[in-house]
Amino acid sequence: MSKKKNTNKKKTEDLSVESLIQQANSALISNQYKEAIVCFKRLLKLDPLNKWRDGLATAYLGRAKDLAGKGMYKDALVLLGNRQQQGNHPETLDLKIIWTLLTGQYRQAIETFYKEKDQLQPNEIEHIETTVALLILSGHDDLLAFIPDGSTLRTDSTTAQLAVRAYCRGDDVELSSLLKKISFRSPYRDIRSILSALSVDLSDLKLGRAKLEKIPEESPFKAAANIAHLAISDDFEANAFEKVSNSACNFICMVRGISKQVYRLMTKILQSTGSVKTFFKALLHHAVSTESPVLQEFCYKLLPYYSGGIQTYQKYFGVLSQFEISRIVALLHEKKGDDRHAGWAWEDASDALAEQPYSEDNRLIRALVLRRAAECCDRFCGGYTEDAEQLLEQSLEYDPDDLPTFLSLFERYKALEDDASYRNCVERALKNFPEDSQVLMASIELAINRNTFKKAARFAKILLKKDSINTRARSLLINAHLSHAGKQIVIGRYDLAVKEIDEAEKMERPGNPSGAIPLYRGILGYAQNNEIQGEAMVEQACRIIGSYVIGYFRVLMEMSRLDIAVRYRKKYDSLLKNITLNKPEKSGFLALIKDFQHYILVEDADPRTTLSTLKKYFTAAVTLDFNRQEMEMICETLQDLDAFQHLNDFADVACQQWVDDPIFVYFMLFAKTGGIPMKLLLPDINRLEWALETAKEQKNIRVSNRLIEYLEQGLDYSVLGCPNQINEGIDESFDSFPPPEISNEMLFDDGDDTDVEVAKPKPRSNRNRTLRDPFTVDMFDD
Amino acid sequence: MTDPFTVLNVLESASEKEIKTAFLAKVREFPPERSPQQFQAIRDAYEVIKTEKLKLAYQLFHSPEIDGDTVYRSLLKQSRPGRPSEEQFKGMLADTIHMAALPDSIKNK
Repeated sequence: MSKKKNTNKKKTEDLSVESLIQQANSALISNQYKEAIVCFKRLLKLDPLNKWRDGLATAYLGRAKDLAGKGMYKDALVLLGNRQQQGNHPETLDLKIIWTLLTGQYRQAIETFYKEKDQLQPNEIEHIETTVALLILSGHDDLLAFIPDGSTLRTDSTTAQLAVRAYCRGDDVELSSLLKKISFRSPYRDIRSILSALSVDLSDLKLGRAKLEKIPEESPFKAAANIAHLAISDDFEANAFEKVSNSACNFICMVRGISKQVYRLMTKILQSTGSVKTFFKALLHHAVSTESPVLQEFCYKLLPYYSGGIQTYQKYFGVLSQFEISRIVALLHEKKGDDRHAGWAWEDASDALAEQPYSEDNRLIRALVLRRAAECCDRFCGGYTEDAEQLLEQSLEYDPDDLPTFLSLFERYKALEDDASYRNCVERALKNFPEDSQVLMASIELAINRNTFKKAARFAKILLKKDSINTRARSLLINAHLSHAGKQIVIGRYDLAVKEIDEAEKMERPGNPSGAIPLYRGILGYAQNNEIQGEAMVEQACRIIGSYVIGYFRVLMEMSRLDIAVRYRKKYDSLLKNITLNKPEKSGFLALIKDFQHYILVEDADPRTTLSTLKKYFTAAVTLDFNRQEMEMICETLQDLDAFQHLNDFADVACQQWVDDPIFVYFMLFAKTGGIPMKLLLPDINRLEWALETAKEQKNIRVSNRLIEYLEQGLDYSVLGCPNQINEGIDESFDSFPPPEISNEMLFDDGDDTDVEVAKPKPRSNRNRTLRDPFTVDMFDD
Repeated sequence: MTDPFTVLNVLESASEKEIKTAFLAKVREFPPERSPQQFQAIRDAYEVIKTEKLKLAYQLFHSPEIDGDTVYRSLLKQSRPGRPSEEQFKGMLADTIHMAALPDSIKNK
């Protein structure tokens, strides 16, 4: 120590005055008080200026506080004395008294306090008195001998000590009455809050903590309040727990009723921050040594987070069943996002259950596990898969009453266009859930698809009985009757057709006719060559629908489906042509587009046959002011109709309005190439690629996928045929493929183009076709 | 999500009926108009375990995240809170005196 001191001195002796000043100031700023003291002392020797005295006084005070912070109160007091020798500096009397108290010189401290009380600030007096109170309560009651009679420090001390005693022996009634005697101005007021907080009911610890939080930060009792807070905290306050002393630890353990072992465990857990392995091992060690079932349970629950834990766990707590091991492994894989292995592990778990003795619980668990495996399978494959379907079907063997699984299978079979499985699944679901509205709805749709309209009507009636305001069911029932009527018209049983139409009419909501009934009566009239009835009814239908364009269009579609004489069809074709010569209105045009969308999905209807009739109507509609969503819907429909020329016109306008919007770029190039990706030229591919990038940037997955699909088909050909670099020559040869006559037809004739069908991507509209209602559904909903 | 059994204050072995009773009791304690957040948490917890099948699925597929707090709280449930002796109390206070010597207000003086 002395060596070091000498070194410091030696160092300063060699320094210039300027360097000394700089070093002294920087030492002060960085709280290096010891070094500052040496520098200022040297400066004073060289030039005894007052400013060096001030600096030295500041350094002495700082150093004194440092020493007091380390519990070296005597040394701190010596430095306070040195500070006073540096001239006229305000005395730190409160520190002097407190530190004198803490050195155990009670008489001197108390005498100084009462003698110099007038020189102290009120907050300093309060702080000293509270410190004395803390000392008395912590066992230094010999202090009381020096405190004058009549002082609250003396008068309240007995009450406070009795209160501590009452708390410790659990006499809360006595405690409560004693605490009431301690006034809010008393130096013992903070122990009142602490005892009051510690004695609250365990179910209301929040109130206790709130009481402790009210104790001011500068109170000498604050540290004790913090320990009390820890003792009644619900959380394991890691940092705070680490810092408490041995006595505080004993106190907390007693208050919470936890053992020292648990306390040590919690400290170990603290050290395992971030490492599941260390956490697991700490728990395992204590679970084994304390034979605590709670800790063993925690070890078990940690296994899905720590792959190495299974073996260790089994070593100490016994062998786990194969099912349990597979379950934990599956969860481990799931947590890593490895759905493939997770799925397999769940299947292993299911197999392991099969080995176990039969029980209802086991069957249910097996079903649940298989469903989980199916979920993993779907996630891994990014969509519905046959494997998942098999797992779900298998799960129904063990738990046949699971409606969500049936509904999921409905959706899957629909999406995969697996009609046979869909039908089988709906029929099984109907057996188990004969009154469920979703199952009934699926059954109605299935019956309609299979042209068993009577069955469909029966299911719809059951559904409407349960839910009379179900508009979808009502609409399906009406359509079932009308479809049945259509069936009768085709086979010439007009009397039965009339009955079915009458039944449909009964189901219509009064005051809300859709126009479908008179439209069918009209068609029935034409079927019977009763042109007067036919014309009158169609007229009535058009008035109800509110649009002759829509009315005539529907008549044409239905006449074509029900094989009504060509002359009548020609009549309405001509009528439709005539009324669509004028410029269309936006709403009317959009309604027609929706009707087109509907008939695209109807199996035995071909709305493309009316495109040539409506050519002028569509051409004129290009100039209408559509919003982006409407424009996309129009383009989508035109694409499904293979109406390339119209699609080109609309997409061109859209590209101008929403410059380079990826979906419209796609539509335009689709139209330009007539839907044949191999006809894409290099600039087209570049443009599509650019549009793809934009769609990706916009996170528009739907459009990105369409662009990728089209691009891949185009690129596949170019990659297989030739590299892009030399594509131009090949492109020329592509220009003549298909032959110009076919190509022209495709671009300018919106009719059949079956010759080149093979090269086109599968029309999206066909994907759901098989399971959709062949007759109108929405068109009759108003 | 917080453990539904803890939210509803029921054992993992509780029956459907017991879970429903606990749920209704909690709803009475935290009605939606007065404690919308607690009510939502209670309802969410109930939805997860309200039937035997749902409860079983939760137990099979949910691996709760465990941390120090979870362990501590669980151990506290097993503990028997008590009172320290007078000596222990005084010892705790005595350990804090040193901190009382230099509160922040004095340190910054």
